[in-house]
Amino acid sequence: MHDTTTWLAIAAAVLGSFALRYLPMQLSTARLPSWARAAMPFVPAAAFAALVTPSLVQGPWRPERLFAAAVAAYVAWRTGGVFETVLIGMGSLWAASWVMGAL
Amino acid sequence: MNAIAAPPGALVESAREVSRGLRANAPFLLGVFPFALVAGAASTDAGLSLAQVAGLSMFLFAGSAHLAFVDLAGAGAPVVVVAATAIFVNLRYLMFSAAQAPGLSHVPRGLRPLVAHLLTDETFAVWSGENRPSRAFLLGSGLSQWLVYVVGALIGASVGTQLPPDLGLDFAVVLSFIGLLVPTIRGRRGAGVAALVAGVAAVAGTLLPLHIGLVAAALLGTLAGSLAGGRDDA
Repeated sequence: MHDTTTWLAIAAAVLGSFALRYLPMQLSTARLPSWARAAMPFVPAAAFAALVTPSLVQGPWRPERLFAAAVAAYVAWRTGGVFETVLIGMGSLWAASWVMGAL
Repeated sequence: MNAIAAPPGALVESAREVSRGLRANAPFLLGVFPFALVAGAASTDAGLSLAQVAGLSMFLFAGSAHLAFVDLAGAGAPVVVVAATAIFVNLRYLMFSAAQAPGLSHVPRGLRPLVAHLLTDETFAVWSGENRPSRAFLLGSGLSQWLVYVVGALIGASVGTQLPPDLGLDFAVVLSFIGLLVPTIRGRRGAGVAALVAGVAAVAGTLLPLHIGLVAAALLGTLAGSLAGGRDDA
């Protein structure tokens, strides 16, 4: 991306995100249609899943990444913590890469 | 806050509330700091300047959207897709903000833009546990996270490129998404369906041009989740 276009994208993302955070706090939420309010709780799960899966399957075959993702998912399930998930996931990735290199 | 004109008792009370806010948010900072490092490093990898990293971390102040932004910007996606994806990733704030609105009605209008800007996954969790949190508590919890995020992102942006690429640091981005995703679907059927549908659709969506598959998949997953979800999901 060109420098100016990057700044343009930053400005748009910042303004849009601020509106999302600020407007419901300021306006009445009763104006939202009920189906939209009902769908809101599912946005985080859908958005994060849509971000995760392509990066696991796209590009060259990398089983060490699938292994690390599985370990990370288990850790996240048990602890619910991002910190533990990233640390143990990265450790698993490095361990799996080392084992694959040694074989 | 008009701390100088306040009587000493109120000042002590404010300081106590700031400190309580700091402590309430502290466990989350353990996750926020490495997340910020990763976001900063990924930004530099994607070709963003230090000023742009500062801009994103200070004014976007949203880890997942920051990561999605630099991921797409680095892949050369068009401006509209980059900005729209970051905004879509932040759509949950619409819900968080609406949920916080009744409990924050006592916050003065002039302070609301700042409090709104400090709304994140972490502060949402912390503020939700409070009954009409004081301004000092809101600022103590929110500004501490803001500072940790901005400093972490700038450190990550500065040292990130010096890390050897075979460490797979880029993968920490995916792991942090997994760390946020899994607890949101745990024990919630609708959210599980949302994640499953969005995850599968996103893989299929990689065949679509302009990275439009991500937004389409997330919309599809959200819709599927709300159709499958029950009362306990809300």
